[in-house]
Amino acid sequence: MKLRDMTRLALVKAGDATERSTAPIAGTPRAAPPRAPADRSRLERMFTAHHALVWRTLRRRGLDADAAADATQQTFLVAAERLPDINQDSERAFLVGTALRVAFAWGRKTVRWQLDEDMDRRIGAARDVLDEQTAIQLCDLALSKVDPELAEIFVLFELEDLTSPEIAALLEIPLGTVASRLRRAREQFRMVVSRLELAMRREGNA
Amino acid sequence: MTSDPKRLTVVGATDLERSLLQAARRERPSHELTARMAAGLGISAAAVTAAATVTAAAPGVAAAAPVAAAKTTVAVWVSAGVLAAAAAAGVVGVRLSSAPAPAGSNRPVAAVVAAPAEEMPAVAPSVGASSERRSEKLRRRSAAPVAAPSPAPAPAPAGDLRDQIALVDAARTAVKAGSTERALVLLRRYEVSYPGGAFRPEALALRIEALDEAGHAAEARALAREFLTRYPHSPLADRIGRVARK
Repeated sequence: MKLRDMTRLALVKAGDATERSTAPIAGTPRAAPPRAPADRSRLERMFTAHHALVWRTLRRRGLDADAAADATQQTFLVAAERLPDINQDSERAFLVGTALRVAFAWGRKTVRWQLDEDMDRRIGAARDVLDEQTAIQLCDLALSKVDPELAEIFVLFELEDLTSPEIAALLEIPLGTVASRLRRAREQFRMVVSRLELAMRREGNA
Repeated sequence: MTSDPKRLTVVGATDLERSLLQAARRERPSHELTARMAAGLGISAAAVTAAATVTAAAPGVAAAAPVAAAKTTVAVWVSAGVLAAAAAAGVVGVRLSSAPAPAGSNRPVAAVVAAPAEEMPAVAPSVGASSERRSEKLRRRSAAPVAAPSPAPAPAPAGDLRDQIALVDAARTAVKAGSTERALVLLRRYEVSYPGGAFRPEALALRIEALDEAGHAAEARALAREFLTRYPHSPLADRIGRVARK
């Protein structure tokens, strides 16, 4: 595939809202005991420290910026309800794990694509150095070519700095599986990027 | 102790690989999105923005220490329970997933989610319609052989997740109130309804605590040991470990 074809594509939300159930929830707690100031402070600190990570993790799952913000908020709502259960040292892992579950439940497993008319212009404007937004979109494009179950581990390890044991715990898979999937994910990611690089050279952008 | 390989951005990446990965690592939500998320959680946006300025220097690495600015008094604290109920009813999702807010629009979500869920529109029709149009546009125009991920198996509907949250929340409330029998009934219902549920660890942990509270110490200990075997790195492991060691 030519770079121009590839780079025209950008992750967008598509068909997302229609996938959500609108049924009212039965038995949902309508009120909770007032939170202690310590809980409020803790949630605030967790949000400050981790909201960007959670949002990025969801972005790499194919959610657009708005939808990722939505899912991030839901992730922290779950965390607010679980504060007593969350170990101080495991806040990041808890949030990432919850974010992945929320993303899954939202039905975002399948990444949708559409033409992004801006991409040609941005790539055309890029010379030796890609602009930030184009680089992010190319990264997402490359990730979309990686098997989803491998890409998940690649994102957590390479982009969000989780350790292999943390990933194993989050995904409930053996450490050895994390290692083998990471290795395969790297191979696939690098193969796609090398194709991108070749195409960019042909088009004089790198 | 397993030693992780070095990150690609540290060792072994080509220039382009490094550029792409580092750009993705640096990506952050805009100030507007951050403010909206913070407002929805009753968190001071100013505190978060100030903290974001500090942490932006090291993207991808979570700030470990509490940020002083984050200690600012929360301007609006909406009961997490109410927020959770609103989110569970799809209110928050609808609000934030609707068409992009106009520039400068920074309407606090809290005001929306604090309203009774049944008064809120269930879904924004324009979003679905717009998405459909985009999809159609894609089908018409994208002849490129994009190796889009193969269709995933039908994911758990959002309603399932909401039901799961409701059941686990109700069970947790029951455990806290000392209604261990009710908690066990709810948890049993969860396990039967959602054998592959998203909150299995939490449900099992609650079951262990309920059994322990109810005086079934031996069963609680046995399950606690099982929990630690199945979820050794769970955030709940410390807590359940205390039951296992009883």
